[in-house]
Amino acid sequence: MRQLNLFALVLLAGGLFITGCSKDDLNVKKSEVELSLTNPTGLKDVTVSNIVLAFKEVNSGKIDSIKAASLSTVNVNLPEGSYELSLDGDIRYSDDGGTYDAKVRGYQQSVVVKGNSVAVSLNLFLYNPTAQFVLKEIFFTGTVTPQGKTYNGDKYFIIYNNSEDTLYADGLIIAEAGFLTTTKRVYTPDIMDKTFTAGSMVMVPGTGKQYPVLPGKQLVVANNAINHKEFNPNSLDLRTADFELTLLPTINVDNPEVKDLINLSSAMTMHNRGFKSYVLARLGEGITVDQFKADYYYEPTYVNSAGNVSATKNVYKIPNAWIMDAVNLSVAPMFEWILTAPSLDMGWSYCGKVDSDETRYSKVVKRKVLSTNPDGRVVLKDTNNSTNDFEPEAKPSLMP
Amino acid sequence: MGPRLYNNVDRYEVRFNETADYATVYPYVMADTVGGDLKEEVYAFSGGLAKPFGRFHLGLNAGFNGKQTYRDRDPRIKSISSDITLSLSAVRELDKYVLGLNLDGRKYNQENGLEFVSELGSPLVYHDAGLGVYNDLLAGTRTDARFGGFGYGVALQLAPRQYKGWTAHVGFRGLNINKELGTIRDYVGEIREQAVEGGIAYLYQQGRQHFIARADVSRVKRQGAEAKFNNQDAQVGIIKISEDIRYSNAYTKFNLRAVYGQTGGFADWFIGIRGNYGDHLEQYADPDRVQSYTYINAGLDLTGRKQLGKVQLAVHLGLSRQQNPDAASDWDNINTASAQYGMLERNFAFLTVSGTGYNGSVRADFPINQNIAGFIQAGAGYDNGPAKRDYQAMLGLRF
Amino acid sequence: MQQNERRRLKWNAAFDFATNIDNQRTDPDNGYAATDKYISTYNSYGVQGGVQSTRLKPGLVKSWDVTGSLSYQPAKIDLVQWVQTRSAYILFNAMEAGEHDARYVTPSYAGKMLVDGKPLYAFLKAKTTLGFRTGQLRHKLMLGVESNYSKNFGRGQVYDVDFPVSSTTPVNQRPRTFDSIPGMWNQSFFAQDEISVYVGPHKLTAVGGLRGMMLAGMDSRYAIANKMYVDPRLNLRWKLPLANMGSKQLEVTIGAGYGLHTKMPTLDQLYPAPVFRDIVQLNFFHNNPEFRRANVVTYIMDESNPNLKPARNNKFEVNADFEVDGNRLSVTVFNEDMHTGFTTNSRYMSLSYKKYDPQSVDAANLTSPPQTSDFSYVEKHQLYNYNIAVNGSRLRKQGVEYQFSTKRFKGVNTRFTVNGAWFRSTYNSSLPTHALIGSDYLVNGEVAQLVGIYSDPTGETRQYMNTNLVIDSYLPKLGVTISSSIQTVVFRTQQNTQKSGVPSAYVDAHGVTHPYTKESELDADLKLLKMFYSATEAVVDRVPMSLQANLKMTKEFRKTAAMSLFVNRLFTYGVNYYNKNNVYIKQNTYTTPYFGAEVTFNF
Repeated sequence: MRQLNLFALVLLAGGLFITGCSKDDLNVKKSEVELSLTNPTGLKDVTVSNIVLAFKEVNSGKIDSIKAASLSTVNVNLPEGSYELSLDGDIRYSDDGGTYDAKVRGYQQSVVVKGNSVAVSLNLFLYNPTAQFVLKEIFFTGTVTPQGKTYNGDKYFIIYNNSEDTLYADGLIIAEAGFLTTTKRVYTPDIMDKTFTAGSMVMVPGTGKQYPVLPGKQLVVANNAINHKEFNPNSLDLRTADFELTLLPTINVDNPEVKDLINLSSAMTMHNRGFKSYVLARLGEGITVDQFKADYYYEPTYVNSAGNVSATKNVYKIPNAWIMDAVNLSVAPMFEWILTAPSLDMGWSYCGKVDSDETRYSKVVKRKVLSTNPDGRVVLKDTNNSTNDFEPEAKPSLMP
Repeated sequence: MGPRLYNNVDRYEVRFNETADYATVYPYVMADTVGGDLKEEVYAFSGGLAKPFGRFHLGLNAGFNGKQTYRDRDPRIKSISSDITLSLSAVRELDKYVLGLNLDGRKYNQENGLEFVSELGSPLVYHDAGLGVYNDLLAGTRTDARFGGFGYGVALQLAPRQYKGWTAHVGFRGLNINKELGTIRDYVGEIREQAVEGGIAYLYQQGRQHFIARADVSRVKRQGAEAKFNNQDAQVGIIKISEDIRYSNAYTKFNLRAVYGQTGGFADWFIGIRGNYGDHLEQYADPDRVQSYTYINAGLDLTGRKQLGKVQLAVHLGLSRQQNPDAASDWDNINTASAQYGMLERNFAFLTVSGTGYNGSVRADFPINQNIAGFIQAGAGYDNGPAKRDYQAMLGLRF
Repeated sequence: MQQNERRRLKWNAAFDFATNIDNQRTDPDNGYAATDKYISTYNSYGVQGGVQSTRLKPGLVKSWDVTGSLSYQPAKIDLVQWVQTRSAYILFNAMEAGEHDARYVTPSYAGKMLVDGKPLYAFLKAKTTLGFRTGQLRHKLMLGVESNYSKNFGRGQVYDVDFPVSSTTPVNQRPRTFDSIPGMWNQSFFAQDEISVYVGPHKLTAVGGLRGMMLAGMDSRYAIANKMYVDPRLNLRWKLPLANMGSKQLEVTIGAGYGLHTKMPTLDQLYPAPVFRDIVQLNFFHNNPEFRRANVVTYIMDESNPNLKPARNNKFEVNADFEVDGNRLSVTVFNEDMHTGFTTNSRYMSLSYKKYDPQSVDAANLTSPPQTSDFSYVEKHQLYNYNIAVNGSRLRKQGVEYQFSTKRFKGVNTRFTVNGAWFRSTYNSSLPTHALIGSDYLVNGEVAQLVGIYSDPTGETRQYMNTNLVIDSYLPKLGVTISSSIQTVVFRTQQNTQKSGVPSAYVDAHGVTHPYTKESELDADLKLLKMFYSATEAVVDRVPMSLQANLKMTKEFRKTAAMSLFVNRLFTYGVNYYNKNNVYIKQNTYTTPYFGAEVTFNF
């Protein structure tokens, strides 16, 4: 009985101690971030104003937006994590020619915030939109047949003349990236801030003035310019495309009535889940194709996850100055980095919410309309940020 | 050699959970919005030995429980889990009472995989961190998760040598399980659970009358520590940069039970009452989500037992009533159109519904030969709160 | 069983049959339920028998026996699958070489295929044992012959080549009947003599023998056809007299052995499937379906190597055995060398084709279907790279194996056994290799235009060491047998030969070889032939220890039933380490044990 009394006492005491649930103090550690901005090189008397900063935390997906009138340093308190930082603002600067007002941007990825305070420095770059040929629509997912099988011969690009002059498509190059937006690697040498690494490149033939495109008009470049409805009732008819790609010989389809583009380095196979970026470019002044292949060959090496050094083969570097438009494509859960310098395209668009999304078929990324002129010419939105410029998962404009 | 069993289980419409042993590894389960029916096979066996040492009795027991979970269509889950327990017990005889001390250890492992074979693609696979929150960086197609951890327990028990008088027990257990994902070096989530329990009971027996009353209390607190990652590049891979305790689930339960019965006579009968009280609080930090509720459950049951020749027949009837005096939930930063929102709302409604339940079962025990005895049991129940029906049928052999 | 005074004759026969019952299946995710069907049937018939005669009285022939078996396992897969092309593809299905017009694949259809296999295996063995003495030597001579025959009489993949079922993109393969592959008849004989003699208290035993084998019934164009390869083997054992160690006695046996082992090539290496290489010459996909024209040239290659010889392995070993009081230690040191190991080596061929110009016919104003001859063409070449099986690699293996087992200790009735091995194997091949330029590289706008010839030798060295500890206890009072084992891989290393990746020569599309010079490395197209090898290829990579513990328990229930259960990987541990490139590799991840149970009933 003595033992029992002791027991009962212990039990009662324990019961009183643990009765009642109290709210736990769960909290998440935060850090002070001291942000400093570095102005673009070569500019004098710089003032930056109307700053909009977006901090996107990669683990939670939360975006903290901060507006500041003009500050050389911005202080902000954020939960620990890995951040993607982007900045938009106005800049006034002067050089030998005078004083200019322009737009300025900044972009940095994988900013690690942890500990009590972190100092982050962001490089700014000027951003000057010019109107030329732009990529208006990219269809890369293919379609699905009524029996639930995939069909992928019907991919295409639409190139649009966004300027007010007549432009000539001769020598225009569409290049697909040599890397993937879903695999971030440290390449040696790393020249992404000055050039774009292209895998397959296709070029419009012509002597210089053979293929004019009026303002507000477009060119359709199809993988296979045939009536795909013969093969898949859910697909579309591309017999009226302006150009056709020459694919690998075993899978190529050649409509003799549609002009073929020239393959510069390898036959293009558009990535079907949207993990590659595309650019529109022209070869520099006086540079021939053979000269380009000889002088602009690029063999970057990288270290893979097992620690072995590997080289990427058959890629070429296109200087940013030759590029007139760029679009990054990726998928949200797999996105790791953009494949262009942030000045060419700071964001990315998508068809599909996950890798191998079964709902991505028959959808395109389509550039948004900015305005329509009184004469009927449509101006498309081009702010060099595909996250804002493109409508993701849109209905193909060529499909009825 | 202790009990050995094989179970083949079909679970229907399992959703938002593609991991086996939810009760052990929650909240860090792999999930997707599709789900479906799945099959489970359980193999369990245990054994031990006992030896007297003077006034002490020492015993050693080991047990193994293995489970395989799978589904034959997308999303194809394939999970194997194993639970190994080892326990050491020492019993000391006092004049009228027996004091027992039990120490046990537990090793838990699970390999949890998911596969999609459809050529069209797959839905998003995400890793739940508690109350519908998941890590965006890890979501996508990471379908290879592994769990592992240890548990321990200490329990003390006091029981009368003759089957009457007071009994008391108190115990403490802990469980630590970590989750690994793919080739990521560091743990994605860590579960730390502590539980305290205790109870007293009183037994009385006089001739044909039997009476037992017991009161138990238990408190369980589980915390989940979650890591944040940075994706540096494909060579270095995903690196952990910080860790916080973001999830907490704590509940307290009080149970009371009293049974009175008489044996001999035409048939043996027992009548019992039951009362339970529970207080649950589940929280998540950043986004701040919380779910809390209390419930009171009272029940009445009647059991009758009669020996007909070699067969022993038993009939059981029960009635219960559940009330939820307090219930509150708050989901911060959630898209009300998302599947996770619907899941949270439906789950909360199920946990906080009040209702009345009825159940009954019939069991027959019969000997087969000198060494083997068998039994058949069938039962059904209905609970009008969650509109839940259950049926069971069992056939067993004892040898 | 017959018995008379001189000999005892025994015979036995067995028949077994197996079939499958769960044979219909449809895939809920990838199948198209309206048409898809999959039925697989499998039957196995086997018969075996043997006669054995043992002599009871002394004589020359001690015993003889004959055994044989025959097994036939027909299997059939009947499948219907909905096939959808991914675009307008040309159908490559010509069964003869040459140029011909081809058609385009039907967009969608239900493809039917039957896979019919009828393998037959036959085995016959006859053996006799003779015993006699020559002076002090005691002989035990064993002679025997053995025949093995296997052939598949099935039809293989049977389907309409205009409606293939295997994939949705064009295939460069054609159906092949299994029956067209010749059967394999391996005929061998063996003769072995065991001579033992006592020299004082020492016992010397020598076992020498010959084993010959040949592949009979083969086409004479093969170098190994009907040729007998003889393997000599010799084994010596010297048992020392019992030595006294205190109250116990030590028994020592020392031995050495040498042998040659021949391995015949497999059917797949001798008779590879003929390869079909299709090159598109004309692809004129007009908007009007009537006016479409495609033309393909097909080459058929036979990639067999009639000069293939069997691989022969030399092995030499020395061993020692020590036994005292029931505890036993045995150690073996061995060295193996094989010069003629099987490997694949590449070859190339230049294929010519006519590249027709689709623009040479006015597509917009056609009035009737154009013929291939209406188009103009240019003569072009492509290179084709293929592999054949050759003897060309060298494999050397050296190692030590040991085993130590204790006696069964009283009380707990437990025995401990430790065994392990360490060996190092070196593989190298010095044959030059060829590699076609990457399939997506365009040289002058065409694919497959260059082949690089690389003379750097290939090789690797590996080391491996493992140790196992087995503890088994038998507790008769409880009727329980417990066996637990701990298996450790102590370490593994690997080291490759460093290669430069620069070709020594290259071949152009016409098949002409040119040396690869310093200028070639700068040329826009030839620089693509340089292969990239990491600077750490030749660094040793070492994987440290990993171990696992297993447990098996059996309980017997008074001879009527027995239940056993086992758990493998009950406990695992691995050392996490940094590999040769300083990357952190995790060996210590959570793994679930692998478990099973078995119940046996005796009636």
